[in-house]
Amino acid sequence: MAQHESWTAPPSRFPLLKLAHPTARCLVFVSLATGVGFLPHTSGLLAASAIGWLALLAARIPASWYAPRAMAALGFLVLLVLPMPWMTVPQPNEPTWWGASWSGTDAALKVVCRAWTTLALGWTCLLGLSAADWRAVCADLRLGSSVAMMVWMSGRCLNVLSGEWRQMRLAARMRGARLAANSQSWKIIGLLVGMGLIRSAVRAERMGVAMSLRSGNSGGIIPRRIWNPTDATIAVTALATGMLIIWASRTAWEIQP
Amino acid sequence: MIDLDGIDVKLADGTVAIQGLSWHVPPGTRVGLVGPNGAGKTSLLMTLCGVLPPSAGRGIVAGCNLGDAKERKALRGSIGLLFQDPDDQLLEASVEDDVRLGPLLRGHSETEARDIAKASMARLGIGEWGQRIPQRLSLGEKKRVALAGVLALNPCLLLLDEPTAGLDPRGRRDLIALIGSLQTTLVLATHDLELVLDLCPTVALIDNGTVISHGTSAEVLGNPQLMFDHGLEVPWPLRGNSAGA
Repeated sequence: MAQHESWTAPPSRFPLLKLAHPTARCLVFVSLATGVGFLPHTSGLLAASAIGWLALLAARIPASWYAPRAMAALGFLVLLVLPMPWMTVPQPNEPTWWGASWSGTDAALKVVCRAWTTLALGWTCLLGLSAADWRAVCADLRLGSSVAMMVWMSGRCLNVLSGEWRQMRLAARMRGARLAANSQSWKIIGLLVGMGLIRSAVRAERMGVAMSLRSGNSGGIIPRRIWNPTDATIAVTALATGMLIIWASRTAWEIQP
Repeated sequence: MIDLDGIDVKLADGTVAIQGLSWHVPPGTRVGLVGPNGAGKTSLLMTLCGVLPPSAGRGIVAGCNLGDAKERKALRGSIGLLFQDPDDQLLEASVEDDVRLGPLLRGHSETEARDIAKASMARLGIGEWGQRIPQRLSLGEKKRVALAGVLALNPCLLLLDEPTAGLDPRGRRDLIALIGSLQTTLVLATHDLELVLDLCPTVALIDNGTVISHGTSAEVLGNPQLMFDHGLEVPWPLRGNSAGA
């Protein structure tokens, strides 16, 4: 089977944010995602979802890359919130459709919109940040070299853990293991989890050796990247926008006749 | 380049991996390191690059004393190690970022690191792979990228742990050509005895954590009794010689 293009080439990077300081990019994401988290009305969240999608378009991230990932990430969430319209008790005089309450539908829609917007903003702001960039972010946050290494290695270890887990699950299946509601299944899951941790620890040790050989006696310190006025402008604008959204969502607006 | 005199190495669990090992490798040579599974090849490589400290004996590698913790740490800056499993050392999201990481960690600026990475990738014929994802490459391609990452640091001693393990004949041929073109001092730990014959004029046979025999490749690998006693076989190209011997 031919490999999909998105597997062989990383998605294109956001042309506006590509040159920005990694910490500024993280600040943009955190500010906007926090703002979206505070948005109270469905209409506002729908607009934010649309803006998130437009940001993905502007970032030139191919739909073939983000669509399957969004479906994988949001699919489970959609399944979780699907019963909400029927489980929420309608208010008196509240309209219903097919037995579903309007307030429940509204709540479910809000959850999905918030999740989608956060994902889209995350991809737009953070895709393409390299290990060196993450270390720069940690250095800016005064987290220290060892914490920076830990943050980065945890990201890498998640990949390692998932890879090890896939291999072992396949090996267990090939030996005839089937998940069922019995004690044997729990034993197999316990074995897989335990063995996964052991294998990951062994691999993490080898990766640590590889890392120390690469950094040599420099201690693995990457030179700090200096903030320029554009980085500061981007960060301040994003912070102001996020605060504005939070302030607007907390203000009781009164429309004058 | 390597001067070991009766070194012992104990692993964290107390196992003695290397016992009374003495070995001398002059600079600029290519040496094969062969032995059965569990003989101590990988432990010896880890000792040579300063990761495992010797518990006894005297060892000098690239001018650094293995008995001194500070010198061992400094030694890591001048040694390149290609792991058996390239997934252990491919850490970044794209090939170029991965090759660039070492120079960046050594204190080069972004631009310098990028130039070094590009030169190293071009040297290995992977200049076009900059934006590819390392985890999606084939094993042979991953080994090539890992080697580019190692060579970007310009090591004075290159240690290769089973470089041809798991490679198809073409991948193996390509890697042999690549390794053959390197001018640095090289230690090649492998079970691929034909590879040792092709690339290394001298070889050391190691078993139970000590060097059993050291000499020219034809001499050591062509000794059927020696090879049999230590769980190895005379490689095909030398079988005629050993039969006649």
